Formats: sequence, C-alpha cells, structure tokens
Amino acid sequence: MHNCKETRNRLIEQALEKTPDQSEPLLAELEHCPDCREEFASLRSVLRLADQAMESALPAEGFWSGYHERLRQNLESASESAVSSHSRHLQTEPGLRTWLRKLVTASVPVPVPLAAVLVVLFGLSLTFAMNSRSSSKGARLPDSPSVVTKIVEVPVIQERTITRVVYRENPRHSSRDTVRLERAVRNTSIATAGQNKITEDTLISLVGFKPTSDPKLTIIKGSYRDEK
Amino acid sequence: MSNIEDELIRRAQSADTEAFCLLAKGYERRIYLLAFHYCHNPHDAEDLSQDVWLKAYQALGSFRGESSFYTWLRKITINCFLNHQRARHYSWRGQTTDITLSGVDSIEGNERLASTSNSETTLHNKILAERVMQALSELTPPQRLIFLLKHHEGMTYEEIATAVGCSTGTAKKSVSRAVTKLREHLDIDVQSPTTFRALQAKIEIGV
Repeated sequence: MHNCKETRNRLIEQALEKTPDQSEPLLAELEHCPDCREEFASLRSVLRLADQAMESALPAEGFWSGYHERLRQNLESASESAVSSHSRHLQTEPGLRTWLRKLVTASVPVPVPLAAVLVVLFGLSLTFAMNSRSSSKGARLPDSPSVVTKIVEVPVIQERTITRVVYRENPRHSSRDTVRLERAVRNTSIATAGQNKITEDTLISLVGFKPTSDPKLTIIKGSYRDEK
Repeated sequence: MSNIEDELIRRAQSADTEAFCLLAKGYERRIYLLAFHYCHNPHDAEDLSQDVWLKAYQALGSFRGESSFYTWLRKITINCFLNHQRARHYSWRGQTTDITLSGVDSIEGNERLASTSNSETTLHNKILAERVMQALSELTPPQRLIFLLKHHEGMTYEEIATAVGCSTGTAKKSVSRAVTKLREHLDIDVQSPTTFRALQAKIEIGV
C-alpha cells in the first residue's frame, strides 16, 4: 500500500541518481500518486539546478595556466626541500658519530687529592655494598612451611541391622499344621532317603508356629487382673 | 586505468614532477571544484587543492594501483579537507560556520568565470550559483562534504561513511539536510521567465 511519507523519504536517494533506474519499483509507485510524482519532479529539478550552478563556478580557462605554474613551483620546492632534508640527514650522521667518539675518548683534568677522595669513596661504597649483600644472605629467613599431604585412615562405624523373627503359636491351625507337617516330613524323608534325617525334636519345636511380620508386644504391668 | 596514466604514474613515482603535472591536469578541475564548494572561497579552494596535489605527490610512492588513481586521489582530498576543517577549528556537530560568502562576484573579479558576457545565461547561472552557495553555507563543513561526495562524486553512503568516519545514518541525514536547504533556496521556478525577470530586477537594484 502506498504511503506518501515513506515514499518521500526514499525519493531523495532516487533523485540524486544522475539517470534514475526506470525499473525501480519506487518510480512505478509514483505513477499512482500525483503528489509524490510532483515531489520527485521538484527534487530532480532542484538538484539539476544545483548541479548546473556548481559547474558554472568553474574558473575560466586563463586561470588554469597560472594554477599549473603554481603547482609546478610547489612540487619543485617540495622536491628540493625533500632532497635538502635528506642530505642534511646524511650530513648529520657522521657528525653524530664524531660526537659519540669524542664523548668516549674525552678526558677531564681532576686535581690529585680530589681524585684520591673519589677513589676512596668508591672503594668504601663498594665494600659497604658487598657487606650488606653478605649480611642479607646470612640473615636469611627460614624456609616457609611446606604443605605435606598425608593419608590417614579413620575407622568408620558401620550400622548393622538385626532382624529377629518371632514365632507365635496359632491354636486354630495347630492340629491341621501338625498333620500337614507330618505329611511333608514323610514325603521329604522318602525323597531324601539316605540324606539328612529330620529328628523328632525338630518336628516338635516347629509345630504350631508360623512367622509373622508384625510382632505384637505385650506389656505386663500392674496386678494379676491385667495379666494377659 | 589507461596506459598513458600508468606511464605517468610510474614516472611521477620516480620524482618526475613534469609527469605528475600532466597527471594532475586530468583531475585538477574536479578537485578544484570540490574544494571551491567546500570552502566557498576561491583563494582557500586554490590553497586546498594545491595542498591535495602536494600530498598526493609526496604519497605517490604508496600508490599500488589496487584502486583507480582517482579513487586514491579522492581519499587524499577528503583527508586534506577534514584536516583543513580541524585546523580551522570547525566543529563536527556545531552550528554553521562563519564562512564569508564571497560568491561568484569574487570569482568574476579574479577573472575566473568561464563566461564574462552579460548574457541572460550568465546572469541566470550567477543567480543560481549564489543561491546554491548560500544554501551550502548554511550546512556544517562535514555535512557539505558529505553532500558533495554524494551528489558530485556519486559515492555510496557506505563509501562516504568510511571515508569521512561517520555512520551511514549520519551521511544520509547530511544529504537530506543539504537537499532541504537547496530546496529552500532554489525551490522556485527559476526557469520561468516571469520569476527570472523578477530575480534579475532584484539583482540589478541590489536587493
């Protein structure tokens, strides 16, 4: 959908083109909006006029010969200054060398007492420096404590779970279980003939008992009436 | 790049000033015109354009032919313009500069106008040039430079942003502002005889 405000923002870019691209969708869009078309034409004419005016500011032909002459002079003076600075640089290099040589080989006349004092002072400062160095070596700080890693075995108390199975007599099933158990024992004794023999004591001790998961605790306290 | 230009560059690189002058001849008008519209003063324009050529001559050894000679020269021109602007303490975001608008009269005074006749065309161009200069003088130097690079040199906004050291948004805004200013000063039907005569009368009576 055509939006005049948006289109006008893009018109400048298109108007600045010396030869606007006719396949540009923006130009096709202008066909449907007379206001935008007029705006575009106005922009184009303004820029064309500006171009014409700017070109007309070009100096006359006579100006250019003088311009060339001045340019040539500028270039020549620049070349000369470059050459002279280069030669000056070359000239200064031997001078620097001579100066350095003079500095190394130079000597200054000094009175003998002053020279002796200077030598003594130098010797003292050297001795002092050496002494201070050796004392600093003697008073060395003890080695900093080092960290030693040692593995120590510590006994760990382990928890132990004790499960106790409590058997309780069931009077209702006692007779039936006895018969069943006797039968089972008989069958087992037949099947495992020559193997371990179940004794009479074992039969007696297990009759009427069955394992239970929730033991019932009976607390006996008080007189005989509360006894259960 | 033509073979003649190649040869001239090669000779100029080996300090042949004559070859460099011949090379400069091909682009001097373009550079001068840019400088003139940037400075709005023929004397400054000459100094600035001569400075561009001097810088180009000194830097010619670094020209490797990776771009065209003119593209390389334009970079030097832009840098010269920006340095000139800094030297004159122009501010990037400041107000418009106090350039004395010498206008085309000063050019005429220096016998620099292409035509010296008092024909209608000359007068017409004179009015236009004065208005264009007035419009451009109301811009900041960087805005003016950006507009010239876009309109005169046909550079893309990205190229301008890289060359001038600003964002593409700033470059677009500068061009838009320049066009607005030009419209303010030129949005009259100068080509219409009635308006033109009115303008001519104004100029003659010195209004």
